[in-house]
Amino acid sequence: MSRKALAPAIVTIVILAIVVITVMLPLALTTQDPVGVLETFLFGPFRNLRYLGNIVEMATPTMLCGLAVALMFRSGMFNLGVEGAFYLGGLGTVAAALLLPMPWWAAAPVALAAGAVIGSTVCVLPGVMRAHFDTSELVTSLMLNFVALFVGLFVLNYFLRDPAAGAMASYKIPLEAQLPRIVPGTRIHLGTVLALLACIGGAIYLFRTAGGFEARLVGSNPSFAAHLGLPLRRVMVRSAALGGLIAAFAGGIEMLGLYTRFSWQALPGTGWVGVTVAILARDNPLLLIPSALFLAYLQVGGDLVGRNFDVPIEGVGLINALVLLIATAAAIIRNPMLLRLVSGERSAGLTKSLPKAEAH
Amino acid sequence: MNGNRVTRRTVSTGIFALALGLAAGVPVARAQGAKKIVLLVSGNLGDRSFFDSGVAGFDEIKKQHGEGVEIKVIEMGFDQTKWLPTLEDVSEQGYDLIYVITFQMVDPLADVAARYPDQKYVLIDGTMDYAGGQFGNVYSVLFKQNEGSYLAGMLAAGLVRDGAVATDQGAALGFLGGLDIPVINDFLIGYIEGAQSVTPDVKIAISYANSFDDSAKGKELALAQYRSGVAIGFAAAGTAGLGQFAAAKEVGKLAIGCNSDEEAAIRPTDAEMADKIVSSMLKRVDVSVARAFELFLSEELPFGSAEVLGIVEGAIGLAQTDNFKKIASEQLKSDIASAEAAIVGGKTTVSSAFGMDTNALSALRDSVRP
Amino acid sequence: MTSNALVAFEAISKAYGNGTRALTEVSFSVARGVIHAISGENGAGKSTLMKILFGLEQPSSGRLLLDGGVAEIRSPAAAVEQGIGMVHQHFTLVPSLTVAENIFLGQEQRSGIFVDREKTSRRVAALSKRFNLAVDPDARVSTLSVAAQQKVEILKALSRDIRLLILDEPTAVLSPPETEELFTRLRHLRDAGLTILFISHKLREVRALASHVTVLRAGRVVGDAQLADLDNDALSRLVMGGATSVARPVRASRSVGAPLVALKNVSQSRGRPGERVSNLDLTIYAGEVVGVAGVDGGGQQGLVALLSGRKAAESGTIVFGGRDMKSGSTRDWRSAGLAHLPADRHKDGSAMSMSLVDNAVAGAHRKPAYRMGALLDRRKMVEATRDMISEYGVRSPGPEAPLSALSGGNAQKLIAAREFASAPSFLIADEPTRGIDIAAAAFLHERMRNMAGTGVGILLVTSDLDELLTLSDRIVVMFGGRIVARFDTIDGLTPDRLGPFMLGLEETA
Repeated sequence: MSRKALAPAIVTIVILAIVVITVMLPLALTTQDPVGVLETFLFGPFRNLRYLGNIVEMATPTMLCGLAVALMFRSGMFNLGVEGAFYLGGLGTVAAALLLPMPWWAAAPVALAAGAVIGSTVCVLPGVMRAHFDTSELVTSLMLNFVALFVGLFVLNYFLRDPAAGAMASYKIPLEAQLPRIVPGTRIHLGTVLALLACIGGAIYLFRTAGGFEARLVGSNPSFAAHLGLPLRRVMVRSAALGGLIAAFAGGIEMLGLYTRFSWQALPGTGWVGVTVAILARDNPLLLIPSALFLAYLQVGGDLVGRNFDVPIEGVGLINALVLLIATAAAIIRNPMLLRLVSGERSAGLTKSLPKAEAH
Repeated sequence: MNGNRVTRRTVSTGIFALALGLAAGVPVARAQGAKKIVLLVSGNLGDRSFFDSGVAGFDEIKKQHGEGVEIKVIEMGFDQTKWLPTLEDVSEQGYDLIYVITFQMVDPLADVAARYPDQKYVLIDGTMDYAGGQFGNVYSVLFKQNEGSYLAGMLAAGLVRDGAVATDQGAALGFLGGLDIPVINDFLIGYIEGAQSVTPDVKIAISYANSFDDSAKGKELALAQYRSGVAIGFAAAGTAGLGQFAAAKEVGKLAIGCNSDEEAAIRPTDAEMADKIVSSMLKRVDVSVARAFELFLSEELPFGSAEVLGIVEGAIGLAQTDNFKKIASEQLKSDIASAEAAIVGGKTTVSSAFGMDTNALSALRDSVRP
Repeated sequence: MTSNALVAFEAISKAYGNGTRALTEVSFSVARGVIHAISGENGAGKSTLMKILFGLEQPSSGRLLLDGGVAEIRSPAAAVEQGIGMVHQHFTLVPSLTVAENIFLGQEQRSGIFVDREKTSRRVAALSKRFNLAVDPDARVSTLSVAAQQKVEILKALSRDIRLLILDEPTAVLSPPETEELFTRLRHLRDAGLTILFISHKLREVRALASHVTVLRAGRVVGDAQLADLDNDALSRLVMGGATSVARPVRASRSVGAPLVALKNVSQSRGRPGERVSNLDLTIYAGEVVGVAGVDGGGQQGLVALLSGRKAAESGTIVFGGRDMKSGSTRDWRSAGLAHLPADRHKDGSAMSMSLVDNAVAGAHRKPAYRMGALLDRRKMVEATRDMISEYGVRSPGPEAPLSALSGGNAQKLIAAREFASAPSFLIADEPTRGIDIAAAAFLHERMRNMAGTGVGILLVTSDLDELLTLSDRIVVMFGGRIVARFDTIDGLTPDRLGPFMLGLEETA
């Protein structure tokens, strides 16, 4: 029992050790102050409240995206629309905040709700197509991400763009729509609380409601679910809708929490990080919280190295990319089911799902 | 970690304590009396334009002052959520001057500058809202791109007038803008007025790429212009403007670059394309960066206000490239030189898009439509 | 060994790394210019033997003689080199290419560096004429019927100048007239001098086409004779093995209740061959066990699919509990009182990676007993699972362990516990004891008998004839998607009696 409890901590330390040895050490040795680089990477994120805040700020949207991914993966949907949903959710939220006339107290909730609904389409469409036409949701969602991006650019340019701004950027997000900061000295905003609540809610949904139970059954073995007479299509579409709403909501709170204008001209990549977070958390909503925080810690460490030492931005990008890669690889090592999926041992028609280890 | 008994403390507490100890124990080494300056790149280096030019300005400062100055450049990347934390960090690291570039830094800077009133900032190519006496610690630089564009317009119209381009290539001029925004229209208006000073009834095809980085779209628009009878195009569209040169190479016509000497930048990788860039209108970020530092040293830098730099300050100009010398007639060169002198001397005033009425702008654009 | 043998297998054995013995000391020979059938049940080793002959697998021991000389066939290419061609059960054609392109795939007719399409077409036309197999060389394979695709496969094999053609279950995908046409073509090919190895478990076809048969069972040759020397009973005994009648427990005579499920003239022509059924008439009464016998692909799967809502009937009527269920969904069937032990408990019967609790309550999870407001009452679910575990004697590490931690028998017991817990009126038991230990099987038999005693109607589908004869009150035999025999009492019934019906050699219904 104690071994089981310690396992996540040990795995975390192992990942950290691999990252340091394979990425940070070679990089540090090329600089003038290798010890300083390593110190900054490992301990820098704890140096002051603001850096701790940065970790939390960064973990907030990835946690939510991870939740979106986890809910969909759990129901057997390898739906990668989270990225597009996050993007479009951010845009939809800003658009609603700018264009809809609302009393001040309704601004944030209405904008977030509108953004969530608009953004969720990027996940819902592939889900519906999978459920009714058996198209690969992986392919359609990947494609749809780019559709979302270009639709977003069009809307930004023709409806939201501030002509007085010296760049492609929307009008300023109205102050009353912005999410309140809740920890002085940091940018931690109300969205963080919402994200934590969402993860807890996600766990309750998956493990304590009939709907979540059905989603897990469909994801675990669709053939079995059909044998039980469960409405497979409805379960799939419901999961895609939930995932899409959450990912789009993440984009909305990111905008209202940290941004002053919408100016994303490329997919921000937060959804992809969410996939990594979900893999690291083995699709367990409660484990998403430490997983997202851990990844954010590694990224803040990398950013601090980039900021304080003469490491080019590509170097920092490389650190972050490799951290994600190693974290994902470590998760795969821990999860032999994933490996089996990769090696194609479970190739039966309907079971395109990622097999999951059960939560304990 | 003095006084720590080995108890059942969690590992993370230990790490945290260790981290704080290390943080406190690392002093910032620094030469006595040297000025410390930092440039925040809100994007990536290697743009052959604004950011690289800013770094060139820093290099110039280092060359002038040697040991007397410590310079640092931080690339922040395109993830905007990281700009504010970086700005906060450097604001606490004892820099004498913090440089930020582009309009997009205005919002984060407004936040941070208010919280660190003793820290001095320089904002290049953007301006703060100084009304109400705020931001007494921020100095802003804007550019008179209209003046440089005036010269570019003269050049383009002059080449057509002198027959430097074959008559079958058309007689109209082209303009490719990034976005329909005041700063880009400032280029346009100068360009139109400069061209009209040579050929009063000049025709100019105007397109906007609606992007500063979509060079494929830039190329499509430029090709369309060239094919409809445009002889020379002027691109003020960031990276999207590179499409203008690709199009020029494809149809064998001429183009004018923007911000930095783009002929020189492209020559090492594609000489044939570089041959088509007759000159570039210069927006010298490096000059403005170095100039601000000199003024800062002499305590003459007007914090709390925005300066608009033009030809007089050497921050704006037309690149005197080999192509330019080769292609432009002697008459045209001297015309441009005298126009430059007239602007410096205040005898010629170029209109600006800033503050211009939308209707007036539309009327102007319509008047030159081919 | 006859002197004109084209192929001779000499003591061929094949064992796999995991200890499975697919073939043991297989020896027989194939005469030149005949159609030689190889028969046996699924898993008897027919396919493995043919894979060895075609170079797809290597024997563990023994040798292969071609024309009297030892041949080592290391790959299909080597087999083709030796004049051996094979038509697989699953076609290997490229749907987007034309017939001609498929036939000459890998041996394209070139002129210079270009593929000469016209020349290719001409050669296909010539081939097709020579062997009397009519196909349009320029048609895309994706537009062809299955039978036509098979012709293309055969032509593809023939294009390589072969002398031995292997056909692996070629009629599995064909309708009866198509089968008849194929046989005519094959006889032509034989008359033209080709030797044909015909793999089939359909004895009627074997008898119709071949002159010689080799029967495999459990990897061994159990019969090798001219068909003229074997009557149907002898042949079916060879294939089925010496299944003997078993002593059956005497059952208390049971009063059979009202009609529960009734199928009238039900057909479904779509789906895989084993799922197609035609003109089914069957009524299952409350309190009886109806056994369904048949070889794999006989249509039992189709029957189960219809009665569990996985498929809708194309025509005819299905009534269950007084409701029209012709196109009822699984949900409809279950809510009307169906419980179903599926044949494949891994694929359909459970979620192996989920816990015992999850598996035990799945399907019943929306019942009020497991609810606590909007949430599921996990505690009650665990309790119910514990009850099932103790009632069914499931040996497990605990209710929260994954189902994969259980042995096959224990997993099947838990699945049965779940299905039986729904208090069904109708139970489909599809291979209920396949692959589980004797004790668990006996336990499940006991439970099912008790259920029938309480008025549950049971449809028992099983390939285990002992089980069938032990549990059933009456038996129907399916073959080719039809019910070919009905035995309203099982008194005096033996596997030998069922065999010819199961293999399609006889028909009474």
